[in-house]
Amino acid sequence: MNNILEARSMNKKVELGKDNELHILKDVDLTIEKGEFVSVMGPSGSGKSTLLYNVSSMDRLTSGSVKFKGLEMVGLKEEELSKIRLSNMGFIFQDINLLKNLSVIDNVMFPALVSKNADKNAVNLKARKLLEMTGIEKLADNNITQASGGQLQRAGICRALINDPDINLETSRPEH
Amino acid sequence: MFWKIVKNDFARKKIITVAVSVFIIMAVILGASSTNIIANLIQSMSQLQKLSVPADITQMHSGEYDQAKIDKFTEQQHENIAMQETMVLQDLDGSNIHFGKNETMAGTVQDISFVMQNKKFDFILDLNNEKLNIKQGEVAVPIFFMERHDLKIGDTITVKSGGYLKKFVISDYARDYEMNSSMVTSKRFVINKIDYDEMLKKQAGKLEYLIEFKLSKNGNSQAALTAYMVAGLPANGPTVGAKIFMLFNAMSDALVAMVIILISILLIIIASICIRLTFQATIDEDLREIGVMKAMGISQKDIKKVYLNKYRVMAVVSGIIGYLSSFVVVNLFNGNMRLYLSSNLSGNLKYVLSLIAPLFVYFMIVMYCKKVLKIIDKISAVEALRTDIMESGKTRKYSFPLLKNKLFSTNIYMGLRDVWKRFKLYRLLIIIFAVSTFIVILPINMYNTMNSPELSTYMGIGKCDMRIDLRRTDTITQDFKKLQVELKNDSDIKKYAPYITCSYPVKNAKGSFDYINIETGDFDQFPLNYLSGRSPKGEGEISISYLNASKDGLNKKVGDQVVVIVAGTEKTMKVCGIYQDITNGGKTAKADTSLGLNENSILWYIVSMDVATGVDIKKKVDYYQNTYDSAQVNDIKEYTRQTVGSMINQMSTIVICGIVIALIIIILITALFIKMLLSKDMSQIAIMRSMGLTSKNIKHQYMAGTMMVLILGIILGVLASNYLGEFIVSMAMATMGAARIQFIVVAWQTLLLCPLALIVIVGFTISACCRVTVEDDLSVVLRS
Repeated sequence: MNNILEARSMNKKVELGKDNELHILKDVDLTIEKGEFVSVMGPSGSGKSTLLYNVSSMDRLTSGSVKFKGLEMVGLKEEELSKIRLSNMGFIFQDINLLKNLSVIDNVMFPALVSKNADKNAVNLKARKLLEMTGIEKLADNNITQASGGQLQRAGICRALINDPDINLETSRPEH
Repeated sequence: MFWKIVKNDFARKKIITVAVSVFIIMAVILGASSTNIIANLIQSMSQLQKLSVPADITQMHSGEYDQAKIDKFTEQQHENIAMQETMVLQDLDGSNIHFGKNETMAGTVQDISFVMQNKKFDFILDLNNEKLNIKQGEVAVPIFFMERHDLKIGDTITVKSGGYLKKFVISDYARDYEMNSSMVTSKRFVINKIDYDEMLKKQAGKLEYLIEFKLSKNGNSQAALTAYMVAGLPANGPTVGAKIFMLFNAMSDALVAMVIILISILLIIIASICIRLTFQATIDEDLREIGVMKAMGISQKDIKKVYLNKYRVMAVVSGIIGYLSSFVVVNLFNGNMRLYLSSNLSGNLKYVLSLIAPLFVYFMIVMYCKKVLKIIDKISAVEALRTDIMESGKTRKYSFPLLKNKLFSTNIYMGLRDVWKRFKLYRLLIIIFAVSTFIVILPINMYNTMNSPELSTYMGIGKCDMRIDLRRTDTITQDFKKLQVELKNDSDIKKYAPYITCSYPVKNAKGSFDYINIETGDFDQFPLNYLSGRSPKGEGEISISYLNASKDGLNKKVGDQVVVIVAGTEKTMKVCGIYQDITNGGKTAKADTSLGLNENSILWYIVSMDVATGVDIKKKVDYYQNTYDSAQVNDIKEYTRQTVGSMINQMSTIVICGIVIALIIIILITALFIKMLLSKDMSQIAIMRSMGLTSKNIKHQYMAGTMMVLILGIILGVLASNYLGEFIVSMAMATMGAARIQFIVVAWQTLLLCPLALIVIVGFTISACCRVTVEDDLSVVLRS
């Protein structure tokens, strides 16, 4: 199977008030193959983030289907969706979104350490390697308040990659 | 405009508003209830005293006496004494009084006597506080026995004694100012003069006399009493003054009021902590808003007014609700007072005094808010609007890295380290948990202490299994000797010790003589716990009670000398120990047998004993009671339980109330705290969920942190209730003669059951709160 993600007839509506709803996604189809790099571009407010949140199960469709590696995600329980996100997906947010009480390296390690049988030393080694690859290994043990926005963005990338995800999803600002 | 902000704020933060309001209401209810009780106590005691006209000096006596000599003495002492009356008591044993289906009043520690109403003073009243007027064939039963045996108006009691047999119909209850309290071990049944004379003629009971004096306006009680003793007038029983009657009547209700005031103060502290918690948790959210307001040019005073008005409104509304509710709630606590002092508690003083609580709480809350709001002065508009400036430059050392975690799962570790990271927030929760634990455990400790055999040590009685009190009869000396011989030969008795109490003149600090009851015997057999020193072991040694040692008494400490007159001769004794005693006004003493007796003023004979292992104490009690029917034989546990019975009942009510209040506090505070934390951490939770953490993972983090705080709080609370609680109760009981209370701690209750119950309740509360919030739409939070 080559398709990592297959989404069909995705519809997402949002209620703004009484008899007033906004139809953000209208019958959207999306297929992403293994190894493919996909960029979704559009003006602000066009529904790019909504698309990303729905294919990653962080939001629930009004109607439609999303299959991840052949498994239908629509209708799965929160716990099952969480497992898929933790083990198979990586996220990089435009607002960085690191945990403020953890250091840079702890932020990177955190998704890997949540699983019960994680080998802490192996995860630490891997995290340091990722930080080295992105050129921020010297900031590993710093609080996140002691890093610049760009450095934190790179830390976010490392965190997204720590569990060797099948797919990485990123929201970014136009200037990135 | 500001009121609109206040209104919107209430609507947005309902849970916080409700929680803080509940604490203010509870604090006001309890504060107002306690002042209500105090007001009622003052008014009802005053009214009861006015109507019953109790004696100022009551001298008990049994045996021969000459009323003419007493009358002559009264005339001679006209400067001190206004009136004198001698009440003749016909004493009967409880086993002589039958009621219900073949039940008797046997086994009571109370001396039961039948009397008729006095003519001049010391009136016994009914439940409407009117002088009892009993018809022939009827009887008024003391409230103590009404409660104990559930006797109702219209029931009958039958008195059978020797050749005397008479049935009485209960027509009323006797509210007896002098003998109401269970701490006074005598109770008076009131009958009609015709029935009384018939009982007297048939010699149904043993006679005892209350030789009572009412002082004149400027009369000196001590002078009158000393003159009475010097005149050699009849005095082979205890002497009781007006102050003792008042103390005993007020004791259990005063104790209840004190405990409620303490809990109310704790609730005010908790309400203040809630307010501080709210500020600390939400100030970050409001920082930007405050910055915007400052940037717009709104003054600090006006910004503070927004917050202050919110809490002013809360304090006023809660205060009104609390004040009005207190008049209903107080009925939980004033049952004892309604029964024993006054059925009508409708005096106006309580409405005024109860206002103190809501006013005090209002001012405390507003003052505290002003103090906490000073934080706004330190916030500049620029700093508030640019939070990145505030964050950078902080070079705190990073502690508790994830790699260091060897023991716990990552989620639990995250929860525990969060307590360290945000200790300023969590420490308030520790205090609240500690206070709640204190509110539960202190009354439990007090209840267990009052209910234990060790209570006897605060009554000047060494711990023993049984006690025999011999009453004053013509054959008392022979009976006492006979009893000792029998006990010596009784293999069921492991050990025993006889004690004789006489009244002795003792030189006081001013150089004159006070009459003090001194018990003589061997005190090593059944030792007391001493505050200092030890029991008297030989000639020349005396131990005195705490109140006797105090400045109001003889003003002595261990090592000082005391002059005692024994059979007309002065003896100098050395104080070897100070002990606690709440009986007999708290002023007693003990000495070795070598002191000798004042034969004319022997008050009572007591024998304390322990039974051998495996012997049934009840059977032994019954045997000796039947053999010595003039004696009072008691299981010591039953003796102490009956003596402080009403205090124990009231304490059990307080235990239940304490548990309910603590549970309300803990559930509300935990819910409040978790809600605030979850709200504050909303974005961080969303980040974790986006990574793939489940809501269960996140719940575990908060559960771990809060549980750790709870355990710390429980430890502090248990320590505080055991040590600080002892100190507080000792201070309160010092005026009654018990200056160092040592709690009886029932370990399975205070160290196991209560902590476990709190942990389970907090666990459920966290679980319920997390479930609601963690289900929020993830994408919405991430976008915001």
